[in-house]
Amino acid sequence: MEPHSEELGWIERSQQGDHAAFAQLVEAYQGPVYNLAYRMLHDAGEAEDATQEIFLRAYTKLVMYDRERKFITWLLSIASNYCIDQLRRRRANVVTLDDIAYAIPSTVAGPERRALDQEQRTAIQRAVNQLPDTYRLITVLRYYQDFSYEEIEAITGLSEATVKTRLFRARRMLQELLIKEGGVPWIVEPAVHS
Amino acid sequence: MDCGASRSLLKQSRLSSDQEALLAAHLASCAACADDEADAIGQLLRHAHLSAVHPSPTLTATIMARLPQVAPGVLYAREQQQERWRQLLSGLGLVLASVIVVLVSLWQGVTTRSSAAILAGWGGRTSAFAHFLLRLILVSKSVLQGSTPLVALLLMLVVLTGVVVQRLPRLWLPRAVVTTVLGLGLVVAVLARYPTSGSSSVLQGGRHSVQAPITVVTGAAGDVLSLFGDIRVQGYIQGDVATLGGKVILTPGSIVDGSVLSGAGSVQTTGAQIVGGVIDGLGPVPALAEVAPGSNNAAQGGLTRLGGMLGALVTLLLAGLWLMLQGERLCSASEQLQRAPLKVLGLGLAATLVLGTLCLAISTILAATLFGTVLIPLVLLVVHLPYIQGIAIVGQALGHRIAGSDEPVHGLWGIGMQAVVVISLAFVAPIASLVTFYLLGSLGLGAALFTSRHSQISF
Repeated sequence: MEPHSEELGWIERSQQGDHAAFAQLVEAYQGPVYNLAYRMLHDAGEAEDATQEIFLRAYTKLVMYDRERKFITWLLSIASNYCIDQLRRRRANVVTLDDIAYAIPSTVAGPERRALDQEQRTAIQRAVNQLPDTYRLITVLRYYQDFSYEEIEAITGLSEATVKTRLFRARRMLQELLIKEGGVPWIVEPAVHS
Repeated sequence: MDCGASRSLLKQSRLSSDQEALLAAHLASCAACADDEADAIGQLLRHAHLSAVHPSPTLTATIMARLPQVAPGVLYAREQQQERWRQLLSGLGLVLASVIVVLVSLWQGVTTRSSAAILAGWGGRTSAFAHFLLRLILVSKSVLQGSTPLVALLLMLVVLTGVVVQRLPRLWLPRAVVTTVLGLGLVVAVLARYPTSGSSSVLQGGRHSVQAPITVVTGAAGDVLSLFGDIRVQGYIQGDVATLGGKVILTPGSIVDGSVLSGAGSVQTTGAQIVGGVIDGLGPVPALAEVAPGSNNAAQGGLTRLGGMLGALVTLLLAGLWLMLQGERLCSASEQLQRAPLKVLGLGLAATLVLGTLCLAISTILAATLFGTVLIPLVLLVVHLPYIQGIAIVGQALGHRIAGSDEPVHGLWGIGMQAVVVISLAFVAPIASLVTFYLLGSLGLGAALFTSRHSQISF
């Protein structure tokens, strides 16, 4: 897919070393990159550091950018690799679930409903955090960032079949984790997909 | 309505009637979105979707302040150049190290024979480890004597050049041509160094044959070695006497300055004197003594079998540990194995062939010197690491088949199943046990290689 002309202009000028053009790209895409890093690393500070590193890597590799690809998928593939690397490096540190669970703002009105949602969301986020790194990445890309299978395929380099298989497994794992947390009446048996 | 809009609507807790109608129409025509709609956990994730988080307002400025002043093209060219230098230097370093090892091995006084003699002196009569090293040294010599350092160096060079060639992005010769020329060169070099089949030749004061018997009547000033030929020795041999696939007969009064080996035959040493050790195919017997052939074979055979079983057990335990610590990383390979078992088996066997060749080349070089000999067990251990990982991957795939999950505990069941098969076979057919072990290891190794080649992210 051809990036739109304005974006293409920024990319071309950035490739020539134009910092102002690259700043436009950073402004345009720091949101998705930061959100992905935040969902993967669970820490605002680390996510911000990661975002900086990801854009610096992107700048260095900009000459390798293939115009046939969407810029966002190319950028998020760098981000995904970086986040997975960070998680692997971090694994030696012991982090408790309480450390990684964080408050999730609710957007639904009504105190009772908000309290229930807050509880659900915290439980879900805890469960997502317990998924293996690569499963978590695909879950975040699919359900939090709304990417299609094709886009996830482009970002991760995995085949569409593998993406689907992993999503299916991730859902199974999430279901088990949520049931293990106990007292989650809103969990229903998922339909089985092959 | 497109899929993005559909997913957006699926996230909302309340829809207007128009939105519901649009969504229903899209779900009726789009299987992927219909799957999503039917997926309870996915629905839950979407409904519990988290508000977007925002980076600090100064993030752009921070990034721009850290941005290099030069253009990306220049940065990329610099990185590429540095990478090429790194590869070149590491390749040169390895070649230089190989050359040094070869030169040292040719230095008089630190030869294979003296290594064997020194090791035998260390405790060759009682130490199984020393006997193992002696056996390795003599087998290596038997196979590659005369061209030992050269062939090993050539093998190393082929591998190294292959690696470097694969890394160089622009080369005026196609890679296939370079690889073919190198391969043919190696074959020619090996053939040129070996004596013609069915004849024996004099080499560095010693005797050497392939598929031909050797009879030494007046002694020899070097090693006497044969592949698939008997050796009969009389007089003083200033070196080792070794054959694979033949027997060794030392006539009474003969003296061998080094060690004696018969890889698959027997050794008759009645009345002979041997300075080094004696290895008669199934196991070592004490040196510096008149030895009845085969006196210690049964006990040594049992010991070898026990050692093999213990080795397999330790390997399987290590595979279990690997699975417990790194199980999550093995998921992709396990999936790949279940998806295309024959393909990954082929890749795994090819990798085993390459690893075996490399291991032989490195071990041969190392066996040429005393210091290098001590490093051989380390090389063997390193070469086996991929197989330990392979066993863990196969275990996880079996566990998934049995229990339908990637939980490490189920993978341990899979490793246990392999352990039962390999160890049971070791009692009745040791060779079959060994082959099964490497087949399973190669299967997992192939899956790991296939996954790493086909995944952008090294999952």
